[in-house]
Parts: sequence; C-alpha cells; structure tokens
Amino acid sequence: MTRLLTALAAASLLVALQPADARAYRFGTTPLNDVLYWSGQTTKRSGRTTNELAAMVLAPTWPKTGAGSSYTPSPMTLSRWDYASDRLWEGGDHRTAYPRSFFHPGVGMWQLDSTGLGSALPTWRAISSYYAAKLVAQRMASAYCSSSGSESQRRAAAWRPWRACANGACESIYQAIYEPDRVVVTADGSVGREGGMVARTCRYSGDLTTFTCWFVDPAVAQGHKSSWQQAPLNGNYTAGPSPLSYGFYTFGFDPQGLEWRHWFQQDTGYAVTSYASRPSGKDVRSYSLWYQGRVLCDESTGRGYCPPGG
Amino acid sequence: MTLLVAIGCSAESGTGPLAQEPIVSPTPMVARIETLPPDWIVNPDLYDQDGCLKPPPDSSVRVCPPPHAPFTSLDPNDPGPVAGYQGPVGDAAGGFVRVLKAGRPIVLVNSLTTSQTGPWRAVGLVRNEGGGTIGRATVRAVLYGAHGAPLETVTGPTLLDSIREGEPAPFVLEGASDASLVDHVDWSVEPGDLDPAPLVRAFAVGIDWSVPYGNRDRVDLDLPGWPVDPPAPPYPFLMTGTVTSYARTPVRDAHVVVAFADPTGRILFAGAATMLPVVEPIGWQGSQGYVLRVEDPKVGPLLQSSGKGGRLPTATTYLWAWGQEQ
Repeated sequence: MTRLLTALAAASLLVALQPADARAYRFGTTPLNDVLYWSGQTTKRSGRTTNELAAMVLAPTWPKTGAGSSYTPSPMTLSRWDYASDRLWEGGDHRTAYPRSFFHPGVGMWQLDSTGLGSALPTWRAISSYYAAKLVAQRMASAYCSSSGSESQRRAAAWRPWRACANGACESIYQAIYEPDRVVVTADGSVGREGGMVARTCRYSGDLTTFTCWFVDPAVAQGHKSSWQQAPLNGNYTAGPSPLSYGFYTFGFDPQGLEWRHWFQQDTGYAVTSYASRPSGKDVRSYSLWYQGRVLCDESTGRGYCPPGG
Repeated sequence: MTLLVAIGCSAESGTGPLAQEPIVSPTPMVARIETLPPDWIVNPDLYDQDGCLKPPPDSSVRVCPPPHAPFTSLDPNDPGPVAGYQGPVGDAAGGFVRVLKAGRPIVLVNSLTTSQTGPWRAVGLVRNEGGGTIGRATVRAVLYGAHGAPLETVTGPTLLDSIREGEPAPFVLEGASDASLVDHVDWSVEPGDLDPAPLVRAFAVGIDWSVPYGNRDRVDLDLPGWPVDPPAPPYPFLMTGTVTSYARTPVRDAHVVVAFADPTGRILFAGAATMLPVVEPIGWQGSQGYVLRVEDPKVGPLLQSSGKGGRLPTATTYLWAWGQEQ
C-alpha cells in the first residue's frame, strides 16, 4: 500500500506541475491518477515509461467519448450506436414500451464492450477509472510489447481495438499530450473516478443479505455528456442512436457469473420494474436475459421493493 | 505481483462415417468443457483473502460478490464462457452443446448453405457429439442428379485443427459439378485423429469492431499485416478482434477462425482470420490481434448492414481460437 500511495503521490505531482494550457486535453483528476498509477505498474510489460504508457492509455478516451480536445471524458459514458440487437432492448424486443430500460453494451471512457475487451468486466468496473485503467494499461502494454515495426506502428497495434483510433487519430493525440517528463493534460477536479456513479447497499427482497450495488444515473454524469446524451432519448431502432437509459442499479458478477442491471419504476416512470443479466465473458447482444418484477431493494435509500423483515 | 512478472515483454472418437440422421445415444454423454478463469485468478492483486475486491486507494468501498440471485438460474445446458470459442450455444442455435446426443460427430444440416448456380459449393457446420476431442474432421457430400444418379463426391476438412466435445466446427466444400444439376446431397462426416496433438484453447476471443462492406469510410491502420483498403469503394467487410491467452505456458501460432450465420442459422461465410504478427509467444494474459477481410460482393453485404447496427457484424458470429504450446 505504501508503494501504491507513493505512486499516487508522484502521479498527483505530475498533474499539479502542469501549467494551465488552454490547448491541453482535459481529464478527471482522480481518473488521471488512476491511469498514471496503473501505467506505472505496467511499465515492465511494455518497456515504456509511465508517461509514455499513460499517454497511450489516455489517447482513445477523447474520440471514444466524443469529448474531443475541449472537454473531459465522462467515466459514465454509455454507448449509443449499438442499437440493432433486440437483446439490448427491454424484454429483448425493440418494440418495447419501455425503451429507456436499455442495456448499453459499451461502457466508460474506453467504451469497454461485452463483445471485446469488456467481456469479463461488469458494468461498474468498466465505469470506474481505477478498474478500467488497469485493464486497458495491461492490454496496451501487452500489445505494444509483442508487436513489431516502428514505435508509432507499435502504438497503433496497442490502439487497434479502438476503431476511433484508426487513420492516425490517437497518434495525433499522443503527440499532443506526451512529453518525457509529463503528460500534458489539464486535470479536471469536477470529474471523479466513477463519473457520478454512486455506491449503494442493496439486498434482494425477501433476503436480509446486503451487498454493494451501484446506481448509474446518466442525468448526473460528470464530464462531457452532449455527444452521448443526444436526442432522440427513446432511440431509433432503424437508424440509431440507441435509447439513453434512465438511471439503473448494477452489480456483479454473482456466484453464477452474472452481472445485473435493474431499472426501478421510481427512476423510469414506467409501469414496470425491469432487470436483465449478462454472463461474464459473453456478449450481451446474444446472452442477455430480461425479466420484469420488483426484486431488489436499495437499502441505503429505501428505494425499490423493500418489504419489512427482509 | 507475481502476475506482473509472469506476463508480457520479458516473459516470458468416433468410429467412421455418420449418416445424415444422427444416431441418438441411449444415455447422452455430457461434454467436459474448458471455461475461462474467473477474475480472482486473472487479477489476484485486486482481491483480499475473503474474495472481495479491495478498495482503491482513497476509497473505502470494499465490494464483495453479490449473492446468487434467488429468482433465476442459468440454463444447465449453457456451457458458460467456453475457452477458445465465442458464439451460439445450444442445439437449436447450432452452437456449442453440453449434452452429446448423437454420440458421434454430425453434420448440422440446418447450418448448410449451398450454391444454386455455378460450381457446387457448400458451407456449414459439423458438431462433435462424440466423447473426446477429435482431430480435423472430413466432411463428405455425395451429390446426386435429378434421377438419383451420383454426380460427384466432394470431401473437405473442417477449418479447426481439433474439435472438442460439444464443439461446432465450420467447413467449406467446393465441387466441380454444376450446382443447378444437383438434386440432393447425402452428407456424412468422418472424425479425424482420435488422439490429436493437444492444442491450447485457453483463449478469450472477441470482436473489437468491424466496418461494413461497400461505400464506407476508408480504414487505415499503420500496422504490419493490416490489409490496406482499395483506393475506391466498394470496400471489403473488415472485422478485427483480440485473442487473450489464459494458458499457463507461452503459446505460439495462435489461430482464429470465423463463421457468420443468417437469422435462420445458415452459415454465410467461414474462413480463417489473418493473425497480426507478434514478435514473441503469447504469455499469460498476453494478446494477439486478428483481422478478417471479406471481399466477396455476394457475402460481404450480408455480414453488416451499413445503415444499421453500429460497429459490429449484424450476422450471428462464431469465433474459434487455438494455439500451440511453445
């Protein structure tokens, strides 16, 4: 832990020493510390310095979240351009009357997706910059390390899983933010590790066992939102975008290897409470299962279905 | 910390042909299926001794696994996250199965797509419903004309070097006969080596993104081995993804095979992806990229609609991955 805190302190120093620069890309302060921390932990694998790897890890986040160079990527970013799989829609049918109970497959600043790098990561960990940055730093380090060619080609190999990095997009960002002694990024203290996602204590109705669940409410997302919260909020199955989900609870994986998302009536205003599962390691587009019913209680706030006595 | 050192740069039965109708074994066997490791094996540094995620620094939120959901259970026939495979599961879907009904490898007749004009061609799936892994199987199609006269016998191998219990495997057959003269086909499959050389299947295999066939933006990645788009449309369907090794020993010669099916389960395309070059064997949690390019103007547009569905294939996708121990 001492080593961890030292690394974090060093990372914070790196951020603090950066002069204000109107041209600089912006990134949440704690998320930036997470990226620097895990990049530092992973340098053995890549042969890169902490700042080199951190700049690589950061580069896809601006194009993937639509934040561009002017805004801070939101850790809560939810994908809007995967909409044609019925299993993403409530009840497994895009004709649902409850479109904003929608299972976004791509999550977070790196848009980790259940069909690819995010397959084994539950939603809440794909949002948390601490857990997401660990995965991304490891994967980029591994890809860089095992690829051949020039340095820029090896970076391109590390960025290959992000379509938004094609045609040199991430190389341009990398060149703009990397300097040997620092990452030229303006730290934004208004965007936290979870980007507005909050931890709550939940239990299943009829069961006294409590556990940590996470409430993800796009309405209170921190960071850049306009490009992933655009109209039509109910979505368009034919031409996109997908619906934008109302606030939902998520947790997992449970002992069956399932992650869950629950949409309470209180949050959607719909006639039903819906919930859906996705198995670890599998794509939600093929493996979601949908249910309706009140089975979850947010013990922290008394929301959901909280019958007395369990 | 051991994990960090272990990874990365410095690292480190069947009995003959089977007729089209499957023989149903009186007591179906259950496949032994290799699944991917749980997260506490992959990321042990994140967990405490109670199996809970340690809080990040400056946080006090310790997250333990939630209990088993009381209102649902997994399909007992679902094999879980199968190592070295991503795609449909279950008999009806033409996918990986846990219960081995036939007791032998069979041709999945609902998966077959055959040409109607030009030289006879077929693409489809077999499934190993026998006990034990078999080597590359041979698919045999006897083509008959209108009056029952045999026209040609076409044989070809499955695209997988070995096929595990319960595993589907794609094949492509190409004959010389005029497809319009073929009245019916008798299908059979012969298992390959009953004791094949062991292959490493401990891979997670996924799709990172794809772009549709036709008139789209050019995609240029400055990567060795990456296929260059032609100067003008129609551009090919392109799909890229990653295999990640969870084998305890370094793996070389990773392979990825891809198949796509239409909504009825008929296979539209099957073929090997191009592995992007790596300079060393893949260690624990190491990865290798692949890219698949489909230029066929009849097939390419069926895999991903340019006006619908975002950044992934709209056709049902099967992926297989394997490699060899160093």
